[in-house]
Amino acid sequence: MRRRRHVVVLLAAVLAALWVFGAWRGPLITIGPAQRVQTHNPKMGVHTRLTDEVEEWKIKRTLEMVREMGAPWIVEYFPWAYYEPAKGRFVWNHADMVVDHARAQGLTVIARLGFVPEWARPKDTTALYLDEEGYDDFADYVYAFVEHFRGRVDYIIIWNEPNLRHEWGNRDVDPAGYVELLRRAYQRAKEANPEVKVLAGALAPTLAPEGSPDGMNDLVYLQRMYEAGAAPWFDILAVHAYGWVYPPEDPPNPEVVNFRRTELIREIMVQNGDGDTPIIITEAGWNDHPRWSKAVRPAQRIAYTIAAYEWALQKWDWCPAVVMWAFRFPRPARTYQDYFTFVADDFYPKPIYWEVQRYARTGQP
Amino acid sequence: MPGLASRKARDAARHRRWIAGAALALAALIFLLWAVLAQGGPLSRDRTWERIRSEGVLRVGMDASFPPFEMIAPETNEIYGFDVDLANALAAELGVRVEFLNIGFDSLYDQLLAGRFDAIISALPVDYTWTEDVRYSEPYFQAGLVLVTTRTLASTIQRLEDLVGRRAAVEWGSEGDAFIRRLEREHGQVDVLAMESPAEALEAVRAGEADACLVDAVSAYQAIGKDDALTIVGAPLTEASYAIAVRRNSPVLARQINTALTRLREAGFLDALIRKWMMTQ
Repeated sequence: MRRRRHVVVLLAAVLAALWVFGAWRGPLITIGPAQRVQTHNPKMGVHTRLTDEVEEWKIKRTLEMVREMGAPWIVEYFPWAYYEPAKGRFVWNHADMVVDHARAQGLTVIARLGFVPEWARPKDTTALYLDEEGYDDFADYVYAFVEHFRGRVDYIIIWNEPNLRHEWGNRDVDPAGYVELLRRAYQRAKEANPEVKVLAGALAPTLAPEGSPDGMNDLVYLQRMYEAGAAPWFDILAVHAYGWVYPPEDPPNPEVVNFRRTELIREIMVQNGDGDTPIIITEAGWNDHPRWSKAVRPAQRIAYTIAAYEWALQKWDWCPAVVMWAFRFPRPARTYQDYFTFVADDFYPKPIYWEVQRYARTGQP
Repeated sequence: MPGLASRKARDAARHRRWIAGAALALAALIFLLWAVLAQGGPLSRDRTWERIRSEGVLRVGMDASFPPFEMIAPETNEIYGFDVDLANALAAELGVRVEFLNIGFDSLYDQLLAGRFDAIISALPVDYTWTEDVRYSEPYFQAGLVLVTTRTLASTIQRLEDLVGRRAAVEWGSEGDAFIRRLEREHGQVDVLAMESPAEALEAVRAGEADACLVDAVSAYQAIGKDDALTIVGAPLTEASYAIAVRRNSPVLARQINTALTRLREAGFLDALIRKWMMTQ
């Protein structure tokens, strides 16, 4: 009996020691001193995907590597459903971690906002479904985000590729509907911070024919946005400018999706009296998967990526940033998507990372 | 009391025998259930294999845009290539014929699982994250990165580390490029020639401008087929095994394919395919 009591006491002591040790362990990762990005090209950016990156050291390491590569801009996704799990209840911990580490690395964050929580949409709809009944809820989230990150995040993107059916909740796309969403979000954002820059779009570059069930041609959609009164409700237009198999220098052509299709977007803006509004390319890039029909050779991917950065620097004074998709995924996608990345999931830099870094340091394409 | 003690002992022994017997019966029942119900168990049914046998047709999905494994002849729209020959040979071993379905690479697994065809034979790299849904055959080709040099230098260049202090050609931005950069960081300087393609990297070695190159195995075989002064040295540097994939619930088909592959391999057929599609003009 006495022996059993000794065992119980010993076990309790061990458990207590383990608990105390675990609780006492302080934070392992620090934000660190403020850094600056050294680069020849201040327009360089990459799309990070830290939304689903759980471990803080990986968030910090990713953003360090972005800075070391020489890219001052990042686009990061801040899904509404993650940060407002119930109406009015906000959970900012992870978002704070990402933003604070990014700022410490001297990076400028462009925050993409979207992804509808279940409480804000009808049952059995996708997370990209938001009808007019939910617009004010989204605008409230925008207000809360902008207010919380005032002084830390100066750029927000409202939604993503609304000209595609599946991005519009598997409904027929609706430029006027998007403009209304944009208007409400814009007004609430400015209430929280008059200095915040609101980006509309981006639209997906697509050659979808008139009446296509899959979506609307981006050039057509943008014109319809202006006709619906969009101009006052965004400060910057976000654009997606994938190159597919074409070099960045290939001339713009309404029948082709290429990097310089951006100039056709620009023309529409100018024709609608919006020439003073800048464009930021929030997704772009080339892919070197060995089997994907829209991929190029690895050597071409490097050359085209650097040439695209240089093109924007030299020729597009209305474009302050070109953000390539995508820096790193937290885990492999096991599809052609992995061949867009600059760094593998284990943080091993691909050759394109080193070459872009070389370009950022020397200015030599 | 001696009599009481021996009765207790007999009762205890009988009890232990009863427990052991019950445990054995339970294990047998579990095994029987597994054999009948589990996919791949010895008694499980393979409806795919049954249908293939009854119809005499093996349906194969491939993305016919990847020479030399599968391509479309522009004049006839027929699919031809390494994998087509392999599929036909396997079907002959199984006593059936092949129907080919041309499907985009990214959709092959989904279409297999949706039942559109029975097997993927399409220069398909083994991906272990898919093994809950598919069964892979034994690999029939290794497509990974290899080290190529000339026969003259082969005695002094046998492994990656032997490139330190030498000239190495790679395709710029490729996996070979990544290997060389790591080699330099970890072991020392390499004089790197970054070329636009694997073919140019191999040509640099052939022309004496580089001592060796790191390229994929297919490009290496193609170059060696044109100039046997080149040779692959050492083991492949990366694993990129091409295998055939079938659904998880096709265990008999999977076994049949492996048996047929073994026969073909032992008969030299797989080596013959390499010579035909990669080493012959």
